[in-house]
Amino acid sequence: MRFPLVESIIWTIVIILVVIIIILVIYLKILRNNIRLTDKKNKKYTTLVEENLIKFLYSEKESILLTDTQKKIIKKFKKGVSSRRKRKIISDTFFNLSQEISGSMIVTMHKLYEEIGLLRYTIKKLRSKKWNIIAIGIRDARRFEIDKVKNLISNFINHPREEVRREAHLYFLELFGYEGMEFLDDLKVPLSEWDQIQLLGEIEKIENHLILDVSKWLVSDNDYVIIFILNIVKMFNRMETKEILLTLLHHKSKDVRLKAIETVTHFEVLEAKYILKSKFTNMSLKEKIASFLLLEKVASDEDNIFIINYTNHENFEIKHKALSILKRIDKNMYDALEKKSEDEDYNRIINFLDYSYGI
Amino acid sequence: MSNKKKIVLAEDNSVLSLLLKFRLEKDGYQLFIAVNGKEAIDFIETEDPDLILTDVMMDYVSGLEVISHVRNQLESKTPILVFSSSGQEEMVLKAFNLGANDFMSKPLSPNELSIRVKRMLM
Repeated sequence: MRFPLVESIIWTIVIILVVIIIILVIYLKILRNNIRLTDKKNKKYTTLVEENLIKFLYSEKESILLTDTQKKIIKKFKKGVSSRRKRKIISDTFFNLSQEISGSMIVTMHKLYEEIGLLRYTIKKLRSKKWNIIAIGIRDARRFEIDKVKNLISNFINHPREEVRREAHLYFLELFGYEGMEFLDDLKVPLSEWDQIQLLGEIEKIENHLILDVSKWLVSDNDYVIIFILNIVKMFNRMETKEILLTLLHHKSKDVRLKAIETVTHFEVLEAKYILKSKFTNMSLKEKIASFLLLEKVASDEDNIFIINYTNHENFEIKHKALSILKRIDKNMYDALEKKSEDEDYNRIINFLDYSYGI
Repeated sequence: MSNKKKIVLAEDNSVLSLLLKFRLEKDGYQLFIAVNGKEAIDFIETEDPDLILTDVMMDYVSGLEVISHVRNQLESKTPILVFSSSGQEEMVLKAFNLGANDFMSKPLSPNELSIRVKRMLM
């Protein structure tokens, strides 16, 4: 008697599963049809937007007044902007074209962007409570070069989400060039390596080659700002900041000191050598290695006593640098060194230096 | 038979190709728009254009392959103008080595393009 019961349970399960599969298949079919339909509608609307946009751009006259065709097109765009799907298409089409062309058409497109109400939606996004919507709003303002929302965006310079902050920082640099760097005055939060790379990329694109005074940011309270500006000093060879660079060698932050050593090494600042030698014993290992990189460039025979003290240093890199510098600046002192030691690394370095040409 | 000069424009950005089509047709040329290199080659083979405008980076067949096809397979001397974006300088050099005649970097000015096209078709 138990067998029919099990059998009926199995059959019930099978029937339920078959029904579920049929429902899912129908659902999938409807979903696919909907996606295809939406895609078709989007393509059709994209073509329409493209045609209208081109018509608008080419029907512009010298006068500041809009032509009848332009007025009609604006009306059509305004109608489309109220739908989220169509608004996205309009916005993307505008962006696609604005990336590819230059000249007066870009100005006309920016005017059109405001005229049809897209600016209103951008401001709405900037006032959103959701961080991702704010980031999209800033991106839109950046892409369409809307400087009217500058004050609103300045509120996001220290936003808790780095995605929002990043967009805000890029907005200022892309739209206002060197002047946009003023946001660094108010920056209280960190700038990640990735942020710095992106900002440096933007700075490189700035066409205005005015000499920018970066000294005020080299004494900023935010260590990240100092490190970022040190990258700019290096990138643009701002040698006039030399005195501040020397003071940064005494900065309270280890990272800033390290970056400052890297920067003075880039410029081969001789004065830095004396400062670094005087505080060498209290430095971290990274700073010591960085200092030896500077010495490698600027050491002279007056440094032989200092250098010889580190030829037996426990760190391989320092030991190697000390020996190779000594060989270069004072060959007699180098030759007078013991060539054999209990330290295998020392022996290898000596062997390498003695039998390598050109070192 | 129309005696308008024929131009094949290979560009994957539909709105840009529409804008350029509008502009160049206004200047009196007959335009054939290709959305990728493969379509461009088809147009070039069937229409025998007076000028070819091509983007360097495109789907399926790149602008470089289009130039190579025109110069090596078809052995045609039709002038070719290449569009490139910033950071594609090496591609532009390759395009010139393959036989391109001129280049314009994006973002491009439609007015400048119009002048260059006129000059190349003189």
